[in-house]
Amino acid sequence: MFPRPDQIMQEVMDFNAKLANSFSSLSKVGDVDVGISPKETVYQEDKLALYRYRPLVEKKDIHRTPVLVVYALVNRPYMTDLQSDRSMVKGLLEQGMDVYLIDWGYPDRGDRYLDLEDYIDGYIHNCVEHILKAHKIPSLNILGICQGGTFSLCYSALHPEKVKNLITMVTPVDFHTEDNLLSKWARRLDVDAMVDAMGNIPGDLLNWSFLSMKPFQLTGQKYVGLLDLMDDPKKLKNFMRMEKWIFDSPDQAGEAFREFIKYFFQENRLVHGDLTIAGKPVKLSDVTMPVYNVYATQDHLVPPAASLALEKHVGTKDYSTFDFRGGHIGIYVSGRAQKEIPPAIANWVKERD
Amino acid sequence: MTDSSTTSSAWGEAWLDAQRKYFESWADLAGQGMNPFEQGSARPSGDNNPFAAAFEQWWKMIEPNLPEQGRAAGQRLREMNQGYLRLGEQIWKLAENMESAMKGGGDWRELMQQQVAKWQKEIGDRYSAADAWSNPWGEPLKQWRQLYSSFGISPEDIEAFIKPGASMDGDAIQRMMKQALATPGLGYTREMQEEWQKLGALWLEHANVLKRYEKLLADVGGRTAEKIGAKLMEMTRDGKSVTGLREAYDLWVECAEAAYAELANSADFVETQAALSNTLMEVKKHQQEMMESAQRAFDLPTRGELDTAHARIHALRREVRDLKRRLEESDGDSMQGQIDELRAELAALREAPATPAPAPAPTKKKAATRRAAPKATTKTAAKKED
Repeated sequence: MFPRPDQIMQEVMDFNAKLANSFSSLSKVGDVDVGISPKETVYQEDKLALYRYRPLVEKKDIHRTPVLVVYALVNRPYMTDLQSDRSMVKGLLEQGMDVYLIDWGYPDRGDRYLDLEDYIDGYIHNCVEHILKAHKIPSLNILGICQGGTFSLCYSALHPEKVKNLITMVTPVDFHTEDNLLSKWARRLDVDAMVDAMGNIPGDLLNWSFLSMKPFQLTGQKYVGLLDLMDDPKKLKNFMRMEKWIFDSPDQAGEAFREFIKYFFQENRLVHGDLTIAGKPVKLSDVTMPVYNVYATQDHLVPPAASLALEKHVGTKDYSTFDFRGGHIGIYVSGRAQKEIPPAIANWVKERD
Repeated sequence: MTDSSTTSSAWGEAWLDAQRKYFESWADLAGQGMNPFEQGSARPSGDNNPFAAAFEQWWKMIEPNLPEQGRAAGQRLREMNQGYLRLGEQIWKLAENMESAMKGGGDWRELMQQQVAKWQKEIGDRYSAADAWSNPWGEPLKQWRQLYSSFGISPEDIEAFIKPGASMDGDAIQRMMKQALATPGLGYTREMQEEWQKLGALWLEHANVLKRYEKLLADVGGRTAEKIGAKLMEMTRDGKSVTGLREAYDLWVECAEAAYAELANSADFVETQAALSNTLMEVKKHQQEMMESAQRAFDLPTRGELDTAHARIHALRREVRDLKRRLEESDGDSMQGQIDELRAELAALREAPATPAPAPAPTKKKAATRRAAPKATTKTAAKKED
């Protein structure tokens, strides 16, 4: 039934031997570089930067309509371009897509009063306008990821004429599905007290919430597993890149956080149809352009049901889904994701370009 | 100058050498049928876990030599080592107890249940000790402690004061503190005293919630042991066994996550976890108010004043943005209006007979000339298009 005492001792000793050698491996890791695809900054506003990635295919093979990637405010967007063999951006470029991406930057206390109107009807709108002018086109494609997907839905509902096709990826829509642990936790929070007390919400606090969802795996088992990677510098570096991303958590602008928690997590306004941004109603029924909803079947942060609810509420007649067998992070970085996700998105867009 | 990786390697070898010595001592003890983890065993170190103690010593020596890049990861590994060693100790005890119980005869299922119950109790006792070293079950709590310590003045001291095992009875201390905090203030400093009393009451409230949270998490240990027991029974029934410590560790994580998930979804936990944050925020808000009072007394700028300035800048920027948009829209509208007007005029001109226009009146000469110009241009353009 159990290992023999000498086996336990031997394993403990082996474990410690690995641990002892690990410090030598860690000291050789060097700089942990992220964000590998060449790009240029084409627009800046406050702390926001809009990047345009250099194409990886010949000009004649580039899609006519560019795609704007809208990432979440939580964590950094370089997750989509982490390293050469784990880059959704690179995959999209290889498929001939003309990729733009919004980097929100790191808000500080001077940004405390930025609210959802600023982010959605301000920053996103200005980026869209910039791209439309540069390409002399009336509408573009948007790829919204996680919270950025929710923002993209709001933007598309407010300005449907500017969005040709909308792709949502691991995007929460219905925040009150039974399996949504994060939402259960957030519903009882006094978010007014939080914002009033702290101004901006520290990234570390959000990280604590995410890690607390699976504490034994994410703060323990993961590091035990790390010891198995110590002999392989490449794998060790990959691990460190992920580690850097996980703990690279910008603070959240206070008012935007307050509104996001209240309107979405607590009041579920997007599906109830009573959300207003910039004084205008945000109706999912106004999302009339084609929609491609990409979700992860084992997503513990945004459960599939939270994403799939979109179908019931969206106004478009051209709605389809792509289910990825994996989790919230695996959908960007796993080997299978590199093979499956970019071609699926590119093909779907190409049919509608 | 010594290269940091060379230094790390040297320390690594030193550690391995130390381990070899411990391993030999352990092997001797195991050969004599003793558990080297157990208190009172003849073991090389006076600590409860010789590997752990030796590792701690070694870590103290190596940590300053680690480069900044690897220090955080090294710290995590060190913590993992502690958890891993504790698990080894527990599995050892469980195996040992099972073995001796089996020797005495009896149904293995019953024996297993007894051993798991014993283990559950032990975990519960360990949890009451509630320090990071002896408690492998308290990760969320530990993380929370680390987090809130960075949010300002920490109520940890009060928490330590009222928690079980403190020198005085927890309830008596609470009563005493509540009484002290309710004492009315007198004279010139009464308002300040009230502020401090309110802060104390808020602290106390948070400390009590933290205690409740800690208690809820303590149940995870017991439930985990229960799940491991069930899993082991199932494995035994299927003729499977735990082949090593790593497998036991993975089994523990699986069961702990399952036990934690049940708790994390419960209404009680949701309520308590939210209260943990809400009460802390009330403490922080009150601290800020007191801080601002002090700053105002010294005529120093306050956070509130800065917030007012930021709010006004934000409102002004919003106004400017809206005005710009309206201007652009109205510009666009008026230009569109002019274009539509010109188009209509052009269409009318195309349809009109090709007779010369009557001579304009002298007073309108200038205007007529200006209007004639587009006609000529348009015609030329139309010709070019043809």
